Order: sequence, then C-alpha cells, then structure tokens
Amino acid sequence: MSIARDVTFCIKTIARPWGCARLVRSIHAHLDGAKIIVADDGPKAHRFSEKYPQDAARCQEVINIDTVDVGVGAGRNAAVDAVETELFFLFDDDHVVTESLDMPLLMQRFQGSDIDILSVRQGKGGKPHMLTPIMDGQRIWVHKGERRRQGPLAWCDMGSNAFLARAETITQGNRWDDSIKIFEHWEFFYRASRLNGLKVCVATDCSVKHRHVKGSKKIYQPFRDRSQFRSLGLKKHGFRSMRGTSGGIFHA
Amino acid sequence: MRDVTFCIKTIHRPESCAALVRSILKHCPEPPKIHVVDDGKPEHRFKTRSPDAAELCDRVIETDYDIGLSAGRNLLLDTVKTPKVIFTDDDHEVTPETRLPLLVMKLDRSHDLDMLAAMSGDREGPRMMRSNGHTLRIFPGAYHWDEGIGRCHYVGNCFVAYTDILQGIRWDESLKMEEHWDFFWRAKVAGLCCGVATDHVFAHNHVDPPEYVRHRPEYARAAMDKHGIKRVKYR
Repeated sequence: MSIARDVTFCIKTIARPWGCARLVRSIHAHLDGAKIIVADDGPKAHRFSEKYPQDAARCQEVINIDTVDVGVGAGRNAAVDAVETELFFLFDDDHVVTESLDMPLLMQRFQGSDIDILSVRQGKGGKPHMLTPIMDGQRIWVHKGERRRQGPLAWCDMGSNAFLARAETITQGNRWDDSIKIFEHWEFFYRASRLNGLKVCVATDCSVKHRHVKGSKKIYQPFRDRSQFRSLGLKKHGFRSMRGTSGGIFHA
Repeated sequence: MRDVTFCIKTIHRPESCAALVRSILKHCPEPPKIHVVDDGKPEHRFKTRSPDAAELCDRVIETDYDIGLSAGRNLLLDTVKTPKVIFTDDDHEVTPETRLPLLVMKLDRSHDLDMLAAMSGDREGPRMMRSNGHTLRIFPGAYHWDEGIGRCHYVGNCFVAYTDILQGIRWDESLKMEEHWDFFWRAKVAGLCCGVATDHVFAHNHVDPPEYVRHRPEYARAAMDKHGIKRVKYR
C-alpha cells in the first residue's frame, strides 16, 4: 500500500483558515504525494480557499459548502463522500502532522487486522476511552479505558478524531449524524463501537500534535458554545445524562 | 438484598466456599442472590464436594479448568442480573462484624461512590496509588475520610459495587495473577470512586488450595509492560 495511491487525508474546517493551512503544509512536509480533501463551512470571508489560495491549490479538492455552519457531521460526511481511495485519514483543523505520525506503520497494522477505525494519540490527549452505559441505560459513562491490549495497540470504544479507516466503513454504515453540529465525537464512536460493532483501536505510539487554535472570539467561538447539540446526541440514544472523564455529570 | 448478587469465583477450596455460602445466608436476614463460578478440576469441584451448600446457591457455573480469576469474575459480571454485586475471595466469611446489609446501604447512600469495600480481617484498609512512569507505588492512605469511609484508589478483594460500573472496567483475562493492581490502576484512570468502610469486616482464613502456584513472575512482567512501568512497590 502507498500513501499517494491508497489514502486520502480529510479535513473539516470552520473559520480557522490559519490552522487549516498549517495542517495542510505539515501533511505535505511529512507525507509525500498526499491527497487532501478539505470541507469548509465557514463564513465566506473566513474560508480557507479565500485566505490561503496557494495551499488550497495543493489539495486534491476543497469543498466550499454553501450553507455556512452546516456542522461537523455533515462537513465530514461531505469530505469522506468525495474520497476516491480505499482508505482515508481524518483530521481536525487544529492538528499538525509531525514524524510521530508513522503512516506506513499505521497502514501496515490496519491491513490484515480486525481494526475498522485506527486512531492515533493527539499530543497528550486521544487516549483510549470506553463508553459504558450505566444506570439502566439512563446515563452514558465516558471514561479512559480499553478492552484489550496488544503491545502499543489498545482496542477500545473511542479514540481521537485523527484516525485511519476505510471510506466505505463510514459512507456505508457509520456516517456522522448531520443534525449534530458539535459534541458529535462520542455519539459517532458510540454508534461505531457499541451499536454497529466496529472495532476501534488506538495506536498509542503514533500521534499528531494538537495545537489548539483558539479562533476568533466573534467568528469562531459562537460555533462551539452550543451545548444543545450534546443534549441532542444524548437524547437520540435515550440517555438522560453523561458522566464525563473527570466525573462531571451533564444532563440532557 | 434481592437487588444484589454475591459473586464467588472458586477453585479447589470447596469447604471454604461452602462455609462462605452458609455464612452469607446466616448473617443476612434478606439474603442476596448467590452465584458461583468454579474452574477447578472435577475431583475438587464445589458442587461435587459440597452438594448441600451448592444447593443453597442461585447459580453454580462450572467452567474449563483454570480459566483464572479475571475470566471467572468477568463471567460472573456477565451472568448477574442485579444492579449491584458483592465480590469476595472464596476463603472469606461473613460474620456479625461484616454487617453486610448496612454495607450495601452505605453504598446506596453515598452517591459519589461506585464501590465500597470492607476490611479483610484487620487488613486491606484504604490505599492510594501513584505512578511516576517507572514505579507504581501502592501505600496506605485515603484522600478523604467521611463517617468511617476512607475514599481511596485501591481496596481489598471484598466489596460491594455497581454491576454496570464494573462492566466498564472488567478484569484483564490475559492476567491470571497481578490482576488486582491492574484492575484498580485502570479503575483509578477511568475515574471510578471507591472507598473502604473500616468498621465492616469480612473474616479471612487463608487456605492455599492444592496445586496452587503463588509466584508467577510472567504475569507480573506482562502487567507492568502493559502500563509501561518497571516495578510495583507496596507499603
């Protein structure tokens, strides 16, 4: 398998064009001939292709979604739908690729294993997590943990947003929910691991950097501060509350 | 206590297991359900050697030989239908000092607790765990004391806990020994909240079962490798 032929790198971005450009450059710097697809639903004046046309030109495709704030779910689905290779690798727009992301090793582990989604660490984050329904299915407990370990590979319910998967796995059976614009992470992995039986694994010895881009307070931050989407995801699966990794309880 | 299942994983200690079962029924006016998993050899089985006591249990599951404590406990977790479980070793016994119904009630009352242990004889008080990436230290202490309950990271092998929370952690079946600290370290990392009610005591009359091999360094090595540490120090 080769990076240039078999894998497409997918980025969903909103109103953080600077972060997206940094990621695109880091992909090109470390992964020869990488195909990149960017899905951008930011306000027109803050789009990646407007602000960084030269970097955008080096991508295979930049999908400028007409509807501003179509959401993380719909944006990622659009990017993965456009993938023509067998595999894709997903990023957040504030990730940065370094030599710690060993793509050949990841692809080798992925092939010939039972793994459907192979996540990497993101800096100190992105540890293997479990999603355990508790209290008679009324509460979902999101906690660090793993089912099984084999050297650096940890099989679990949820990894980070930097992962390798078959495009078909997502497009045919485990898409992101278009209606959940943010707080989509656990909901996506809950369906993948607990409902659809996909095998999720974290390669704990591979990582991307997670250099959080704050984004503009006026333009970007309002897109984040919307806990109604956490409630939406919880209610969808009949949960009334979530117990978070640090013990906090969030009610739907 | 019909919403609690007393879970016993036993191997080659049929007399101890029988004594434990009888002690549960003797000291609980409204006894819990009792489930036993036995992975011993046919000639040392609990059901064969102590049929009367086995009759008193709600369920006795006989498995292949030596599936190990972790697999046995996970099997118990998978078969119980109650929201709460009690786990002890097969050589523990319930006594008046255990005050088992009250122990369960204390777990119910403490909304932050996922697991509440009792003392094992005069041992197994609350302990803390700390790792510097090289050495994992397990030492006596609690981070909070309240009404005789020391909240901590590591407790002994006799406790009441919520079934679903234990389902989220489970025991590592690849470790037939050294599973105890591995379980509690993963539980601590996951954010499980446990404590010891030091005024509740299970009696512990340790018996080494026949053919029992105590020191198996291969499991110690495997458990430490898994967590990337070099040694575990108890104090």
